[in-house]
Amino acid sequence: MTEISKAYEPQAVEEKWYAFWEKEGCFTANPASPKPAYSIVIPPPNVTGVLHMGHVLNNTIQDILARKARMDGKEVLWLPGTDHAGIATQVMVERQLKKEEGKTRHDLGREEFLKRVWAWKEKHGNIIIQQLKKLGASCDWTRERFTMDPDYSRCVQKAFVELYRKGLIYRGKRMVNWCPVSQTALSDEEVEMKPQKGFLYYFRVQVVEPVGDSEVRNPKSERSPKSEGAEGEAGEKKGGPEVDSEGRVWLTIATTRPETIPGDTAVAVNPKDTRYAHLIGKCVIRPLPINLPLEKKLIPIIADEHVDFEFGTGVLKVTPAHDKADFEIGQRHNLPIVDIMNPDGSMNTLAGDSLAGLDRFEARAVAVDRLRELGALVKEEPYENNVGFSQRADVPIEPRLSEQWFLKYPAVEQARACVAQEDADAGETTSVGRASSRAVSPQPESSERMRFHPQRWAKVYDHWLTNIQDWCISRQLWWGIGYRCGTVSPKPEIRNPKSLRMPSGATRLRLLIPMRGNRIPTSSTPGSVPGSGPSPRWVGPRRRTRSGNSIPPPTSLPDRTSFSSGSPG
Amino acid sequence: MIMAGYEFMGDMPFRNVYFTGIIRDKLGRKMSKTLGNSPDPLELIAKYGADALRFGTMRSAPLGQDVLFDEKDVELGRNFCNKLWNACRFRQMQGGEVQGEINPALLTSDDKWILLKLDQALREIGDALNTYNFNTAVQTLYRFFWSEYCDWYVEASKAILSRATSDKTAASSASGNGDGDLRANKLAVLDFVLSHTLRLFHPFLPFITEELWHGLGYSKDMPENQGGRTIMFAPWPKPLDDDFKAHYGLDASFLEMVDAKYDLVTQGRNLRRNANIPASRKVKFVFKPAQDMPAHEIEVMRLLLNAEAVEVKPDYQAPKGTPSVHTSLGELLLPLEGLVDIEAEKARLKKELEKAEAEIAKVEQKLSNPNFVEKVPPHVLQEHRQRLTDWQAKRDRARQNLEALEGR
Repeated sequence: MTEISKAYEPQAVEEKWYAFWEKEGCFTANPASPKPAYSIVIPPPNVTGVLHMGHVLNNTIQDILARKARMDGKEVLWLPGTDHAGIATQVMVERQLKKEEGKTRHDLGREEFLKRVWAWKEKHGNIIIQQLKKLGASCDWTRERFTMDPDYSRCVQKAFVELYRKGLIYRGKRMVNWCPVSQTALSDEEVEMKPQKGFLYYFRVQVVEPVGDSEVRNPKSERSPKSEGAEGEAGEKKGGPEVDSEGRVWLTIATTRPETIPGDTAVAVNPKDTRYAHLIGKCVIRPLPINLPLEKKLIPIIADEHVDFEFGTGVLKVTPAHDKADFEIGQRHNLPIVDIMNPDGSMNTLAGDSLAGLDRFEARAVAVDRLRELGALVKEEPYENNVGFSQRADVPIEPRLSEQWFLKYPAVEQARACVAQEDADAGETTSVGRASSRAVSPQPESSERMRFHPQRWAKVYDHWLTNIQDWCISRQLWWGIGYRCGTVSPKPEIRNPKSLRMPSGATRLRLLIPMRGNRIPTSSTPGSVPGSGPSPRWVGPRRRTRSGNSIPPPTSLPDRTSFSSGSPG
Repeated sequence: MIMAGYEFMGDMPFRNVYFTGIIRDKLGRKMSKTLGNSPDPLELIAKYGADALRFGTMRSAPLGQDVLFDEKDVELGRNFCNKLWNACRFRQMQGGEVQGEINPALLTSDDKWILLKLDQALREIGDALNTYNFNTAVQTLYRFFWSEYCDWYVEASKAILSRATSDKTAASSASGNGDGDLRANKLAVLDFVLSHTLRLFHPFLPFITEELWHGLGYSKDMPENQGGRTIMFAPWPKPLDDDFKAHYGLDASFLEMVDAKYDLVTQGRNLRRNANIPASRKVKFVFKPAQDMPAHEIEVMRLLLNAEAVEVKPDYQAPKGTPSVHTSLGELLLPLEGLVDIEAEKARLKKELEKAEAEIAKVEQKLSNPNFVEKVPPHVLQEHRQRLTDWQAKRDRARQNLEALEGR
């Protein structure tokens, strides 16, 4: 018994005991222990991170569970680590490079740049670990992981290859936020919306019958809604098609981006908009580029419920290659995608002779001039709207179609069926998707179901899994777990990164798994690959575990905003 | 992760998923750098200690709901740590070795009460942790330790501990000395409760509990790898089982009886406060018991009432105007003769009553003015309503006390 001093002085006490616990190995899990195992995988904080109150809450809860489990006589592993945080880290180092040396990562080249990132990580990356220690976190620091550790990367690559072989990972096209200056895709978090003053340009296009041959016939003007006495509010509104003295029918379209007209592959109206409903299925003559044969200028008038009656004239030009919403419309209607821009934001030859080679903003002015010359420009109005800016280069981002990798989620039905949908206390539990899951796997006993605390999240989870969409898992980054993917026609072939020789002309892609910015923060890297934790129990088909380590996969897998755990009792 | 568990391991990866809320500031806004409402946890640790930060955060975090963070919670966490520290220090200053053996024959009603309260806390905290209700667990810890243990039990214990302090050496050495045995037994109960409490608190307050665990010498009683080296591996305390309760005579009736005693004390304290007698002034209470009460119980009451004496007079005839309370244990009276100049006190109360009535009239006038009610911001209106309620309460209390003094 030592004398208890008069006043409690936390700093001295905290330092003394934390050092003691570490020195005595109190946090170190023993795989040979006969005690029942209990493990938690930390939601790895970003290696660039500093402790905030969210970390305090989350990690205090984990520490309470870990310490309680130790006192309950369990062999506890609380596995810590940091997330390489691809975009955040790369941007941070790029900023430093710019500031201190006035260079970009391209000036250094990939290899040298990555050396810098590793150096940065070694120097600053451990701040948050030290901070977690201050909080008293009883993590097993001897097993600290980094999501780009060689073993760890290997597990992730293994998972990638296995999922690819099963056909669950595939390549597809998707709209990304493209920064024409940095020439990279950006996550939504790196795009900042700013109000911009510009103009709304109204231009008119002629409506014609869709015909197989090159002859263009005018639609019969008596079928216009006015002559038919169409009813409905929309019909009474301003706008709507106009018929000129020669019986030709015209539509007026409003746009802030006339330079993208050459990429239009349809115009869309709302099917409920009585002003235009009778024109659905006909075509219009796209005014730009000017020097094209008529049949190449014909684009259809389509009906899409997402078209806003109120915007402009209610007629929308659809540019699937250069606008996210338009891309979706294009997907729904199977429209061709015409990409009229280069990666640096200049126009390519598909934009037509007068625009090709111009920067996108110069091209806007030229496009307006061309419309005016054609007599197609109706009016221009000052207009303010929100435009996404690249946080890195402070220029408007360009929605751009690019080739990305997608994951079709595996085991969805099992994952859905295993979660109890009712409170344990509420009597008989039910589980949705029960009938359909039976074919996949036997329904778990109710006591073996997974429980959500609080229970209401089970509903959210079920809804999410019911509407789940394929996950875009790729990023064009240098800092991350890499894959070299060669394209060998007719089917892309992936090989083990170590044994792969790059076929000439192959695309080279760096992938990060998992990605940020998916719909729900579902997984953090260590959790997404069970077995990549304490000992690589899952090491793929060819290499079984060598250590014979008995620590099982985590009983508790925490998430950034949620975490899970085995019963602490 | 669930899908990956099935895909790569062929099994459900875990059984329970806990969702934390979002931490917001006390006004319910999200914390952000721009708002500057995001406190730096390291500054809080430097200012209050890591345990205080943990305790404050967990206390304000209900299961799955957003957490409204207020630095006051951390301050409260620090106060709680200080309370724990002082309570352990109090035990140490009583001297003597760690007392392992509790003699059932020497247990007082207060001892049995605190053991039953400990059992209740152990059960509540165990249940709360098993269902991930961390915040319920923290609130139970708080209630048990601050209110039940420190405010009531430790104070009541002084009936035995202070009695024997003067001849401490004699008490601990001489066998057969009744006071010494009682004292040792009291220390044994304190040690039992504290060693359980420190273990219960350890997951929440890891640092201070480790320091006190060693400071009080509880580590010495434990096997090396089960609390001897560190409290981290000390066994989690189990609720008291039926055999234990039977052996120590922990009958639930003691809860009721001691609760009634403490309730009597609370009401007695109110008598003193209402009579405007400062806490430093020693007073005599008169007690008319409903049934026989052992002298020890009267002594405990005296201590808790901070009274010079509690005279047991079953046939006491109180002078007109003597403040009193009736409880299931009997009637407690506070004779004011010699303590209070009755006439001066009456005059004071009358003045107080007048002031309260004047204040009430003022606020009521404001509140009946539609111009005022409609135009002032809601918090000002709220503040006025509160003021009205407060003054009304003061008025009622003054009126009541005045009536009591006048023997009405």
